[in-house]
Amino acid sequence: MNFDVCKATLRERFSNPIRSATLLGFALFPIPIALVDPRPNSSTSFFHPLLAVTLASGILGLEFSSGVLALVFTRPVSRRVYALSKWVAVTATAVILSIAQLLAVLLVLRVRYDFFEPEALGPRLVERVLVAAGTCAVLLLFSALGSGLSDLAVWGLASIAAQTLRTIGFVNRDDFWIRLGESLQFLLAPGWGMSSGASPEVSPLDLLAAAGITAAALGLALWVLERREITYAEVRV
Amino acid sequence: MLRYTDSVGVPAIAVSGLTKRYKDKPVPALRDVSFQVEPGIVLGLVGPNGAGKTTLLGCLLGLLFPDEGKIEIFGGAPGTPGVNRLVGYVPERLSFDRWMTGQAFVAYHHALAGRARATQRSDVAEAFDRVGLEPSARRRRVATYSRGTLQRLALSQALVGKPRILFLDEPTSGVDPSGVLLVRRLLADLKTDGVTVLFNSHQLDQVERVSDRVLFLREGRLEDVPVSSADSPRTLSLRWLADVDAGTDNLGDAVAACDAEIIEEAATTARVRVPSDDAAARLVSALVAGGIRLVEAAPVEARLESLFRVSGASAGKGAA
Repeated sequence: MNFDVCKATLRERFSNPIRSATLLGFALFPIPIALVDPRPNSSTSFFHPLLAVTLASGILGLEFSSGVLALVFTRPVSRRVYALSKWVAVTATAVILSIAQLLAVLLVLRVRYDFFEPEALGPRLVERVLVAAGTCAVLLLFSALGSGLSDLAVWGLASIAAQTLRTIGFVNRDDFWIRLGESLQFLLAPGWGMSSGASPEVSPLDLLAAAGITAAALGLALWVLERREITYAEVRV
Repeated sequence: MLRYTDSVGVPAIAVSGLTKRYKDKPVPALRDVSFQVEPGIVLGLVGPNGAGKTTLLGCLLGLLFPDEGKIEIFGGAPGTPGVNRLVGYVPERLSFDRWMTGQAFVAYHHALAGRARATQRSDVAEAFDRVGLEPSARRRRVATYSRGTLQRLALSQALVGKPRILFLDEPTSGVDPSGVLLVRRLLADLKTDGVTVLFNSHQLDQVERVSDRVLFLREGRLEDVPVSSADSPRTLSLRWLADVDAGTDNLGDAVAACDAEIIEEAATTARVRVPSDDAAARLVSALVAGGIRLVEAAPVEARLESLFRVSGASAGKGAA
């Protein structure tokens, strides 16, 4: 791990005002929802994966298309260490923001509705960590394969496809399509929905699946990056 | 850690049988390219557009992977951390982290280069001073930089890692004369310091002025071009003041005495072909001694330029 790369990654991420504003919006939006809706999952479950998406999108792709990577990869930092350091930086930030968001929502629910579910806190925290790490890993993989913000486009389109499949399943009362949609969504944000049941608990199988997808996405991203040639043909100045 | 620079007799660059193809191009970008460069040499790389110069640089830097052949930089494989510790690079397209200040950018590359944090401040200041980047510019965001300032920033980041080998891709492209002079001065300093430099440029007179050796690439093939030979013939353009007291009758005699040849003559100008630098110097002395008030004696074209044409690869012909 290279802490200079971690620091530079976070400074770059937050130097973009659009990204920062989007992040702030996704982080804070569940709080007003919690003021009018007493169900803890309804106000937060949609937004917390988007924190990771906002932080990690274009993490390598933007550097491919700006030409920055051509310079960085002539430095004595291996491509593997560089990519892992970037992933750690955005994952850690996404985890912190996601947990802070969850705690803020639970505080609002406690104050406004006297809602308190201590046994559900653990599973929800585990889900937050898994989703942040997994979503960032999936975006790192998409970013290693493409350039610019193509990773965001692929993730967004695949998410829409997953929701469409689920909707088809609900309309037709067909579990196959619902499960297909949920599986696709689980691939895009590993761990998402693990603790959304009435009595939240973490299934070991889900935990293993989420960790496995994250590890596979990370491994594949590093493998792709090691073999990718850096040319100026894709650089947009 | 392997210390490549300690290896006696190891060439700075050793390339053998390098071939590189792109999937979307039927013709290889590089074909069976082989050469060696000794440490401390300034090597110019010239050739028409699309000849494979940037591809060759990409392979030497480990950014592109050869299909065939072998490359060694100070005995190590390009792109590996051990070799990259010795490398500095100035890309042709100066597209850097636009959100950083110049100071932060060079400090970041100092850290990436694996230099000691304790010397960061002084190393960064030294790199900026070497390229003459103003303190006010150092604190500005890179996004606000002009092309000339970007070039100085690029050179600073390349120098801050104290490289033993420097790759410059069109370092004078689009910069003003002061930028050109800066590069020329830096190359001379680096050569004195024993740094090996490979630079790719379209500005043939620049290449000729600073290079110990020139590689000429055409259609992916390499030719070693002799440069800076004082024995090569060249054409001089002469201009003198019109003066009633001093005629130009002595021109023909002086030219003949120096084994030169008049190609073109007008009232106050002439173009003369001289066989060597020594003949050129003797000709100028003879003209002055003969009372001709000479105000200009300049080569019509760089030697490299003529070699470039002789090789049948003028820029227009080879332009991609």
